Amino acid sequence: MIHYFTDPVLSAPTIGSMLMCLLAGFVGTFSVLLKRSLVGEALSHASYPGVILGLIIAKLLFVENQLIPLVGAALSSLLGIYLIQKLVWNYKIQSDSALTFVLASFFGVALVFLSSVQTSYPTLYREMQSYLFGQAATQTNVQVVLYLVLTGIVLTGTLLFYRPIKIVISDPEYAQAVGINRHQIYMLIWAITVLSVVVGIRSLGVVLMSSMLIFPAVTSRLWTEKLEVVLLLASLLGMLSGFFGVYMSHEMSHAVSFPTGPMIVVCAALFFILSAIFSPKQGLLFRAIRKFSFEKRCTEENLLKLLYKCSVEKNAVQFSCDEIAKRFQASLWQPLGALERKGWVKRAEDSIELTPSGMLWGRKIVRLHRLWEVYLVEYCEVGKDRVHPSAEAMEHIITPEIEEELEVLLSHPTVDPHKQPIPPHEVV
Amino acid sequence: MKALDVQGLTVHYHDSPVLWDIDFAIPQGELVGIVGPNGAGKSTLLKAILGLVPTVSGACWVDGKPLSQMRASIAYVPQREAVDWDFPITVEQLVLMGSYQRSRFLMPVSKKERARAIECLEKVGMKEYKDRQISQLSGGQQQRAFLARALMQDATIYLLDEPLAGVDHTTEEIIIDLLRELVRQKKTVLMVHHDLNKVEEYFSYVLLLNVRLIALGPVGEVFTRPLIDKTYRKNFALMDETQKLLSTKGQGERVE
Amino acid sequence: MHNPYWGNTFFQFFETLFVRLSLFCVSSTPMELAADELQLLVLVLLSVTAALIGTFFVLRKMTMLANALSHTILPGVVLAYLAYHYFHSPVGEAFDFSHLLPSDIYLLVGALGSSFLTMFLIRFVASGLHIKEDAAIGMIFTLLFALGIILVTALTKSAHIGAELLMGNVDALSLGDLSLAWGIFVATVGIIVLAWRPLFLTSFDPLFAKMCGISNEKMNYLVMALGSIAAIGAFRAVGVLLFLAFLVTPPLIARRLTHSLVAMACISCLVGIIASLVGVALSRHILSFYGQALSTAGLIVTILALAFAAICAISKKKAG
Repeated sequence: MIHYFTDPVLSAPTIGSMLMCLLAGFVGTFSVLLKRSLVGEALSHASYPGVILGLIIAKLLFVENQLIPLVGAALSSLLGIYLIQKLVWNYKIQSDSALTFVLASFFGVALVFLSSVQTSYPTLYREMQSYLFGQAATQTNVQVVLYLVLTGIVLTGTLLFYRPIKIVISDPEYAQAVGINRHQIYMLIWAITVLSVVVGIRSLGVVLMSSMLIFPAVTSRLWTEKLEVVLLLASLLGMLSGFFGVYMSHEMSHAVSFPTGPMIVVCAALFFILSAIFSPKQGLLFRAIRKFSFEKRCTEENLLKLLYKCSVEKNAVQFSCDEIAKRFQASLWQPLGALERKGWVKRAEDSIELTPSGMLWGRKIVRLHRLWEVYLVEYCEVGKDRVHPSAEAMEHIITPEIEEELEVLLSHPTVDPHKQPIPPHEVV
Repeated sequence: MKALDVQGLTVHYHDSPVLWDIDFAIPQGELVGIVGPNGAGKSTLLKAILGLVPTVSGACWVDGKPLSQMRASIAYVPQREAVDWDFPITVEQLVLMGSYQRSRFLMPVSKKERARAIECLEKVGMKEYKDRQISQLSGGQQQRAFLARALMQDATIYLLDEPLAGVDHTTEEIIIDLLRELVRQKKTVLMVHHDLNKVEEYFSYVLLLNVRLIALGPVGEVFTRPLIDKTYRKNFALMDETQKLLSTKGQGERVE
Repeated sequence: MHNPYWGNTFFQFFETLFVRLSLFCVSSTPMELAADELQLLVLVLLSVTAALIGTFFVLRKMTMLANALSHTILPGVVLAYLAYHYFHSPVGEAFDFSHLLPSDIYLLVGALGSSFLTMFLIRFVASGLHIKEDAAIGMIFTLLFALGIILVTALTKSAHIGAELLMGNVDALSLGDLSLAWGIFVATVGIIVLAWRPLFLTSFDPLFAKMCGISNEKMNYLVMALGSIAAIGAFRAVGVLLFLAFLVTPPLIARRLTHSLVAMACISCLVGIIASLVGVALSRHILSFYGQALSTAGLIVTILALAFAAICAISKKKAG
């Protein structure tokens, strides 16, 4: 893999793609967090006429400069965002319509110019097309240096304005209260998005550019909420997607060619899918595990509660498996095993014995159940025949903090609505 | 036969206030005001009755029959913000929508219905505005147009969500007069009122709501200092917190 | 056949058109459709179709979904073509976009399938994973489009995809395209007329629609479905991206000119027709005068954009 960085043919495309995807991941975080993810889509499409005109001008001036189309892209993109703002603010057009209109219309203009060179200048035509879907392979070291410079500019700009940007993103009202001009910050963010687009369209192409503005940021958000970590993680994910995209595209293109741009998107999407499943915070796998273990705990606590009640009824701590099984109405085996592991019951041949700590816990659950019933009946004035189902659910949910609040609110009740005693608070 | 009978209505909904076990019945021919603090679930109550938000439990009957069978007899006037007033239709077209509930999709609007629409507009004092674009209406005029649409539906029970919020004095008078006329015709009106002013003046019945039904009855009996205090003082933040915790754990999400 | 429009300038184009049209109406001898006329007819049909359903996309603020479906239609089309080839063609025949039979039901199925898949995935990602809808839209369509590109490059064994995918090529249109466009036009108009009321209600007041027993979700799927079949009709003539402009710009123009929903729909169609006429004539003019063949689709989109800008400027002046 190292040769991707050392080989003269591969190094520029590899490093260039990594850099542009890092930048896109970083910059895209802001628009995603501002809930304006699709502005990048409009900006990248709006850059295309600038690219085309830039290439035509370069050709007319007989200059082989790669800079001119990128300058054109930037100008055209900025024009695009200017028009979008104008349409939304001055002409009261809906923002989604304004974005789509600019996106498609700029593209249409671009294609008029594109078609003009189709037959007469086939090489130029091919080059213009390469900006549509990206062509990492023909990047040069000069471009890589350019991207480094632009990345540096973006990072510096962001650092300088970091505090106001952070406030505008997390708390727009506070920003207004503190005198931060939201519009200026938005303009700044769109400006760095334009720079990122300009850097990125060479590898990713105009059409797929917006994917790198969105995927890394959304993926990072699945892992953390802190802005600094999201930015770092998004940049890292972008960079990795850039690398593996080039890597996979190169390795897999034998009989069939796998273009770089789409492969980068596929990588970014794979990171997203893996995060969506495996992220501890939001991932589907962990959610399923948490849900399952919560339900399991509820079943165990219900069994414990039953044992406690039996012990109070019969004034004993030992019961036969059969009688408990009859009253529990569900499979005993698993919850019983868990209770045993926690030291709350002791099992013998055919009997179950409730240990002192089991008694303690059972008492606590019953206490929470009855406290909640008092809350519903006395504070919420619900009929006492209707409170049981809710208490059955709540007894597993109430935290020590909520328990304390209930105690205070209800002035330390001693009996529940059905005249049963509420066990006192014990430290478990 | 009660005009509206609600039993055991409970709503726990991620982003909306909780409603817990709401039971009440309203007799016919009353102008009922729903009053309560912000976040008490007043709008949610109307939406839950109509099935416009998901409910955990609850059943509603209108005139003794299940609500789902009686939709044609219910008119709902939502808050003005529920609709995009920039939509390209005229006031007349808005009011004519009121006839859609009964008619079939492909039938063009009949002359009779058009005449009725003009009548309804007249009742709210908006006849001259019938060809006006709805975006050109003031807040009060928009509210009146909405009401005209409800009148068009010729319902037996009217549910209105804060119709007097942010309207001018003339509109307020027109609306209240109209609602009183409906009640005189033995229709039932259930209305979320946005503050405590004029409750005694406007309503015959009042429903005090704060997550739970605090009281429902004739305004003289129920709109008393102790009950109002109770409605506004009760804080159900604990209920809200625990329900959200239950829903979070039930879906396996991480508790923050 | 010698193209009667060859060498025509802009106004000569309309002259020729008018002459041939009158000849067609009075004469009993069958006339062959000139290439320009074929293009014109297809463009007119697809712009009316797009303008009609576009009205609802704009009013329902679903244009970004239209953007998404214009991209995700690519893998749908490719898979449809693969399926068609699998069931119909001898083994080993090369994959060739331009010979895809327009009357192919597979295409429409592919388009509808991809639009439903898109909607479903967006809902799943947005609500199941608690991600904002616009981010979900962006992720889904770029991923599906990237997969589509990979499929196409893998199958055409070429390293590049033509801009034709995005730009279309009116010169490659055939009579088959015309019949497809006609079929789609009739179907769209028919469905919109039949479903006018539910479409109107769900666009304006979803709560009221729900009270009338109309499912807002189903109407969203219907709008997307109509959008995707319109995109199929369009993709060879104007390409998927420019199709968006046909969808969005005429309703935007019409909205500034009228306050009635019906008038808005009708004016959108008219705008689409006029833009298509002017575009084809202009394309012919530039070809005759400057010898330069420009993308007709691009010209039409540019004309639409300029028209919108002009209308905005004029109406602002009037108001302010």
